[in-house]
Amino acid sequence: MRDRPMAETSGGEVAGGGEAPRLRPDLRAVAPAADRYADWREVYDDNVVRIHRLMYAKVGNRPDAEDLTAEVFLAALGPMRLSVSRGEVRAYLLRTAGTVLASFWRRRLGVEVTSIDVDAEASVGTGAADIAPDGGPNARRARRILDALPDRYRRVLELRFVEGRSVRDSAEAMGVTVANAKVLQHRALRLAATVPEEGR
Amino acid sequence: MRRRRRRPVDAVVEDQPIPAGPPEPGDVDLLRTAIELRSADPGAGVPSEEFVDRLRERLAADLAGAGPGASAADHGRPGAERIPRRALLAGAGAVAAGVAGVVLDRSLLGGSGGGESQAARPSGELDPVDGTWVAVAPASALADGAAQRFSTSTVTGFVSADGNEVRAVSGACTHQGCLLRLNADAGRLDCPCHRTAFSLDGKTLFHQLIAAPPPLPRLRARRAGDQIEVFLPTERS
Repeated sequence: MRDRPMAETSGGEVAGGGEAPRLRPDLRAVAPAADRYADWREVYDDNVVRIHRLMYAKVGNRPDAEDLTAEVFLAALGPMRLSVSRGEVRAYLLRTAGTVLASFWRRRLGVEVTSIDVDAEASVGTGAADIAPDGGPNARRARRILDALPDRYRRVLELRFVEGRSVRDSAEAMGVTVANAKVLQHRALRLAATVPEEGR
Repeated sequence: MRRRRRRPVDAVVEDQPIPAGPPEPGDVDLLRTAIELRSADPGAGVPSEEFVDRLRERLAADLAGAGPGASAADHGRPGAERIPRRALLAGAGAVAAGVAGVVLDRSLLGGSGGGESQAARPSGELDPVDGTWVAVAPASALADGAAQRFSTSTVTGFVSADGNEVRAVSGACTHQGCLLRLNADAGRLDCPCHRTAFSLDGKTLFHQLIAAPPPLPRLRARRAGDQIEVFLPTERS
């Protein structure tokens, strides 16, 4: 078996049959305790909201976002070394998320529909408390798309995507038939797909 | 229940898993836009407390089972390591594909050299010396791409249709023999024991084991009138 990164139990003991951890010259110095996670639970609690929000922003639905979030932690926590800094653990989770997402798209559609910009995401905070009042870059992009649309198109997309209303509810709110609401939604999405990225 | 394949963009609108399969022209741009719009609410994507708690529990069970540092408390939870992740994490109606990435990640994570490098060896065909064609499902039950489980006193397996062709594979995982479950939404067979999955034609799709388990043994299958038949060991009375 190859050398595995050192794992620690939740009690802070070093796993590995009681053997003291051996330092390896190829590993970086152990980060100061204050800048380290104490155990995997702390890693999880500090990062689960962020990873889930990230995945949701990349797949747009809760069941897949939950599956992918689980996948990231299931894959990353076992072999994770906790002697490194919090920043390095977060970066590692992000890289794992990027790989998990890429693999998801490859298998699900055969096309990488969205991807994770690890460097850009690394600058975003971790937990729910860190959510920017405007929702961060993904929310800003969504807002920009909506603002670029004619009123009725914007309204139908807001009802369906932002407020999560059913097509029947949305039709009622707009005073149109269900069939009309579906057509409006379809056309609105088509137009929205043509709104260029910022800076293009 | 709708049998027609749902378009990816519709799944996102309905907050449902994105269906598997190659997208139609234009689907990808619409899907990407729909996904982007989902983030318009500043609080979008915050996980439910229930999910966060369930995943924490699952991880505790997983880490306890995997490492020598496993605590007695974690081991003591009845059935903790046998809970299928999907049953735990998703409601019965929210079954989706998406366990992908585990094999791929092993190299990145410093896993112990399993994964794709140890390419699965073919398991070949389960061809009994003394066999009989046995009807296992009505042909009408197998739309293109659909699959159905069958079980006799000798073999458990799945029959599926790929165009006009019908195929059958063993329903026992080639790792340790756990009985596979049909994941109809994802079009694959999931092992309930060790996060391993196979395609409907038996290929190993992903796993989280040291070495890739071999593909599922195939069985001979055919359409006979309005029945699907599989060549199975002759049953002794």
